[in-house]
Amino acid sequence: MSETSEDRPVQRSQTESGSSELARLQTNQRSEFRRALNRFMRYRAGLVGLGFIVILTILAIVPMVFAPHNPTEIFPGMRGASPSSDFWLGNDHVGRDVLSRTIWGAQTALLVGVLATTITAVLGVAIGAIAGYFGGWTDSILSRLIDTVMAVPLLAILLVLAAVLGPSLRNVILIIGALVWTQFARVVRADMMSLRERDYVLAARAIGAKAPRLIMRHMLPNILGPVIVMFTLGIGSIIILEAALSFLGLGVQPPTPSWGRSLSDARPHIMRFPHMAIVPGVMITLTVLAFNLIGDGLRDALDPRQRE
Amino acid sequence: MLTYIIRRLLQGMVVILLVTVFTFGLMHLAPGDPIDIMVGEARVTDEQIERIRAQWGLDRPVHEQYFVWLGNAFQGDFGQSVVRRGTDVSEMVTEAAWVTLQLNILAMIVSIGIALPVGMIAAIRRYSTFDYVSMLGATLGVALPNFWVGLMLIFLFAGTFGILPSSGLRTWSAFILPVAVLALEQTALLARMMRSSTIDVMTQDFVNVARAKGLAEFPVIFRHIARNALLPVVTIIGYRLSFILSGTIVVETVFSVPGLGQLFVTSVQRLDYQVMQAIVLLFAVAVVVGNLLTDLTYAYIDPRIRIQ
Repeated sequence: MSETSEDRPVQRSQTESGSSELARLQTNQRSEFRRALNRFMRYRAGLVGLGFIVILTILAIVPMVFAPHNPTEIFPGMRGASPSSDFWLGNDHVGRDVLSRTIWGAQTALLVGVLATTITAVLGVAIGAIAGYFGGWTDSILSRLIDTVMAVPLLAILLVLAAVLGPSLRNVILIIGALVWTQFARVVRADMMSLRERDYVLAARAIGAKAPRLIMRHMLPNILGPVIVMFTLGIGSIIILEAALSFLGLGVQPPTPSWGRSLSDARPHIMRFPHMAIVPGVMITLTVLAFNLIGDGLRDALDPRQRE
Repeated sequence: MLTYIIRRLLQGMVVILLVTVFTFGLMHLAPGDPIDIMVGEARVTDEQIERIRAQWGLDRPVHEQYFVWLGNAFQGDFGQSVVRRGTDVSEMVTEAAWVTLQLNILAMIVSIGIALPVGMIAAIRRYSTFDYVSMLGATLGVALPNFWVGLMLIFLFAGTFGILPSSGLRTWSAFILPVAVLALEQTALLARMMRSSTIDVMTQDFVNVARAKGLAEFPVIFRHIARNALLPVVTIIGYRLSFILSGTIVVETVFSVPGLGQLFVTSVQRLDYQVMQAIVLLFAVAVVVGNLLTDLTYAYIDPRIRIQ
């Protein structure tokens, strides 16, 4: 963001003494980041979302500190028990503690969300940058690849892959990461195409910069804003995807606690033990909502053109 | 225009062909022999296995199998289901597709019927209580996982109140819950889009002109604002086809609706390759055709596009 000349604030005064000129230049260096931060801080809902994610991250890093019981321990005679003083959220259909499983589930959700989104972003930015920068045949081939991946409903192809490769936490992360990159690629490709003709890129090329340097040093930093926004929003939708896969039995496998898996376990018992389903569902909703709110706030802060 | 249509059709065919190669390759990379699934628990001699292999063409090289499959698929012959022996895949898929189509058309009508007026009113009464409440609802609606909403609705309306059936589609009232869940995310997204699109149009010059020449508020809204604000929203519906199909996979499973989504999930779980391939191909064709039709509709209703 810091290099786009149009986004620079208009310089107010040109006639200042040397030392304050230097000071102003130094503050100017940080100003883009500062202004983005200020814009983000003004968006209250985004801060609430951020607060929630911070708490969730702490739960995910040290769940053993907060979980009252072992999440996989089966308590005999407690099948589907309602909330009690020992088990605040009750027990599930085999007698495990719902609260502990929910806390440990945060680890799975964030792990899949962050890791899969990182793979997605790296793949999507690379493919989009190459297609947008080189154009021509490279672009045609990569664009057909993007079209092909987008032609099949995501959940359908994820289910097939999970069934073929065998469902597990690692495979869920890998297959989601390998397939959800199309949005990154499309946005980055379009942005690269418009940046390619900018004067500063032409200037850099004129003094002999080669493609890798042009892409990495001159062009990518300028599309970091939309990428960060997509990354944040992507975590939310990937957490829902993981939950959906686990709900359909082809995601994270037992005994690993996962919110989607808990809902899948709750499904046949929904009439008798509804408490099994309520908390995991609320957690998925709040987590996705929090990431979406942060994403909205970041969009306002980093990418003011795209504001809704 | 004609060359554009032809070029898009060719691109679409390339994409569909790539999808077939991809899915076919994928299913044959899968560990486990389809023979094992076909034979099941039955005790068979090696000779019998060889005969089944020959009958299904499984003894030939993979690329030959692919071309045989592709040729048959072109004629609408997808072979027979391995799990439900003696049933034509095309018959199963057509039957299920009809159910899915009914559900999704109903859901589409519901979400358009709610989202467009809500989005417009929110935009016109910007910053009003209605605006805040409806957009809060829309933000929440995007974050809610549809399978969880489905479970909760089953618990409430089929369990606690006992007024709606929890599964199947035998009576008209059985459509209410699945249609409501299918419509939820779509409604939330469309309402948000309709709102921002209306706000964009409202600030344009021709709207001011219409007001300045003394036109009453009602015709300004309907003749000038609504028609223009609808353009981007209408096209988004076409591009969302692949997400809609992802939604139907989950919702049909939750409500045990005998549609494409449920058929797909059961065939994935049982590794019924013939059915999986047919459904993935059908999904891909639907998405590619849907996107093409959307592009053409857009060019037709918005003449500004045609200039390019």
